[in-house]
Amino acid sequence: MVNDMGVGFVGMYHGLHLWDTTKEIIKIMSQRITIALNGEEQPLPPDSSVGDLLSILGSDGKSVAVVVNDAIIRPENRSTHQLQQGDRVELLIFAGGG
Amino acid sequence: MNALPEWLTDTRDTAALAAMLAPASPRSLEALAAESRAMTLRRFGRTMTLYAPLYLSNYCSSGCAYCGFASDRKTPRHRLEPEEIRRELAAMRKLGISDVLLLTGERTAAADFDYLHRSVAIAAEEMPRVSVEAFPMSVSEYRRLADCGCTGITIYQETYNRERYEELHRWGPKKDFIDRLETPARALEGGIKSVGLGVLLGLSDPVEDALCLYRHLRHLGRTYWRAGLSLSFPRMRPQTGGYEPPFPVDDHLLARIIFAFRIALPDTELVLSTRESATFRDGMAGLGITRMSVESKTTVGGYCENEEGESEEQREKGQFEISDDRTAREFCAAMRAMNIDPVFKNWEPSYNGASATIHHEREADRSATPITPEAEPCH
Amino acid sequence: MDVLKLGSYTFSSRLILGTGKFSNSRVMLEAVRASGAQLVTVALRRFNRQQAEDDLFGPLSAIEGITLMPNTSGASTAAEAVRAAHIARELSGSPFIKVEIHPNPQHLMPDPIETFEAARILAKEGFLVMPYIAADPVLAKRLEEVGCASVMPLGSAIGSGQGLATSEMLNIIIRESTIPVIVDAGLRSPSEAAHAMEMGCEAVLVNSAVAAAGNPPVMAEAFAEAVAAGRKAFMAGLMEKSGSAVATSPLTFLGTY
Repeated sequence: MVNDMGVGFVGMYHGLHLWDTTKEIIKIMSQRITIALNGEEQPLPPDSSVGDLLSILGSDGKSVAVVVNDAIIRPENRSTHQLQQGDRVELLIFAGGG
Repeated sequence: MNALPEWLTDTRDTAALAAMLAPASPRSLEALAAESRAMTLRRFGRTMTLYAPLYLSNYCSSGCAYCGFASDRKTPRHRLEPEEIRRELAAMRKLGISDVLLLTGERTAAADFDYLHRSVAIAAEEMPRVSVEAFPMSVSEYRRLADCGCTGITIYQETYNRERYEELHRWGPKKDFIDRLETPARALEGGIKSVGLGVLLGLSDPVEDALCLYRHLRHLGRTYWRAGLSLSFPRMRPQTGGYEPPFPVDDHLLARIIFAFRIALPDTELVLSTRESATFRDGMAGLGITRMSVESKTTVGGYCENEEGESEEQREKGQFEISDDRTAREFCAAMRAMNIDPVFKNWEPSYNGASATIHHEREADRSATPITPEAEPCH
Repeated sequence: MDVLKLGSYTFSSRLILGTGKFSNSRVMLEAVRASGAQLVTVALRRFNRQQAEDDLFGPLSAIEGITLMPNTSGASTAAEAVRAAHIARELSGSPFIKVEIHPNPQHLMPDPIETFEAARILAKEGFLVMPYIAADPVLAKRLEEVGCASVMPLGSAIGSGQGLATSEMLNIIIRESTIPVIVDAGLRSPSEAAHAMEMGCEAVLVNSAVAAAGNPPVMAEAFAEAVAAGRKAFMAGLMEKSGSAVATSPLTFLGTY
């Protein structure tokens, strides 16, 4: 995803001064944070909330439980709970089980 | 009037037992005896645990119509003092007795809780196992008894027929049917390790009483699942008051009741006292009964008296007349002849001390606020 | 009316259905509907964008009258189970939690010590705790004392289809328990479920026997009927067996009669 976006930027702003564009990209990239989502690295734009994460993943969040660093984030707090660099985020659903 | 608890009236639990006790039961007495015998052998082996009663006092404040110690009887009253208790216990020890049941009448000023408590403490120094058949007590009183070495309480409801119960218990604290009913639970709550229940067969419809007795025992077993439970089958004997039992129970019915209880309750100690004849007791040994009293005296004290050469006329009257008057030695010889081992010591006092009860904590937990306060509608 | 009571909840169905091991969600949902189950177990899994159809919350909630009972499978300690229960409650909106702690993934036998500890904590927090346990009568009483809503002893090992191999112990548990006893695990056929109900179980929990059946929805229905029949038989009271024992001891001491 990071690479895709990076290439897109370069492509879209081809006509701009190359150095400025590169500076811009580096600035944006360095501002991105990385969280551990269900045990795997996931980059996010800075200042992303739990709600933002869910919409990036295409989930309406209704059937997902969110745990950030072992604390449950209830639905009413998801839009205000900001994710930080290095946060461990677990998204859990109900699946088949006996 | 307080309603009867549901566990006493729910007949579902007793269907199998009722079928065995029904007069028209398809199961012959022989068939019940055979099954009862097999279960007794499997669970208890060829053993008979023995105990003997020691009447501490015959003072009484109750008016039980059927009892030789009722407060309107003319029998002389006295109580054993500490030195006498020690002498009686020493005489019992000589007979081999290691398991004593201390008895008193209903609570009186002469024989109150403190007297009983002191007596238990004395007995616990002399006997490996001490149990008590006295008056109903509070949980804290039972706890104090448990702490000073009492491991068992015997408390009979006498009859579970409430109307009959209230007629028979003419006055005194024992008149309160529900309080009596709740007494064994209080004892177990107080850390007493085992309780013995029973009905006095003959006071009311014996089959109805037997079924209620079973429900009472099962209720206690479920609630106080660590408790030891035993059942006695005392049958009305002629006694001082001249009370004629209105529902006499013959040998065959008593045998049927004992067999049916053994089959229904494979693990429960079933007790038969010296109220019954030597013939009946010997016959029941190995068939279902696993605990018996031996060389019992039902007068206050009584184990030393004969040594002092007291004449028959001088002797006071007991609570009831015993029928099996064999000595402990004779009784044991009879058991051994039937290949049954008489067991005098079946308890080690180092295990004494109140039983663990987590009952209170459980109650507290149950009342915890549920997550969803409203009751869910029935689906 | 004869209903299954768990905490303040009542259920007319006494069949609890597990939702694991089905070939796909469609068959599972069909089986749930066919079973008439009102209490259905689910497990917590990590969200995966690629397997969106794993998410059962929506489809199960859409079935009328269903209460979800999440389990704590995957937990191997009390602490993990408590944590799983907290997360599960967020999703299920129900206080039911099936405490299931098996440290050994080979045989999935429940750990009695961790299970007891988790049950104690969760019951105190107000959960309706449904512990999955070996058929151990003492453990069952200890769990009752700490406030569990039921005990769920296994009939035999999970998924083994060995039926009521533990029936001797189950009989003791049923006889001594004051909370519902629910046989969980090991059943293979509806007749075994009926037998468990005739013994006095308050409900049975079935999963593999339905999921791995030739036709799961039909088998679910068969289990529902068997459970209902077994319960009826128990409530009606079975006929006494005829005394097969032969008298070996003369009762001559009783005199003639």
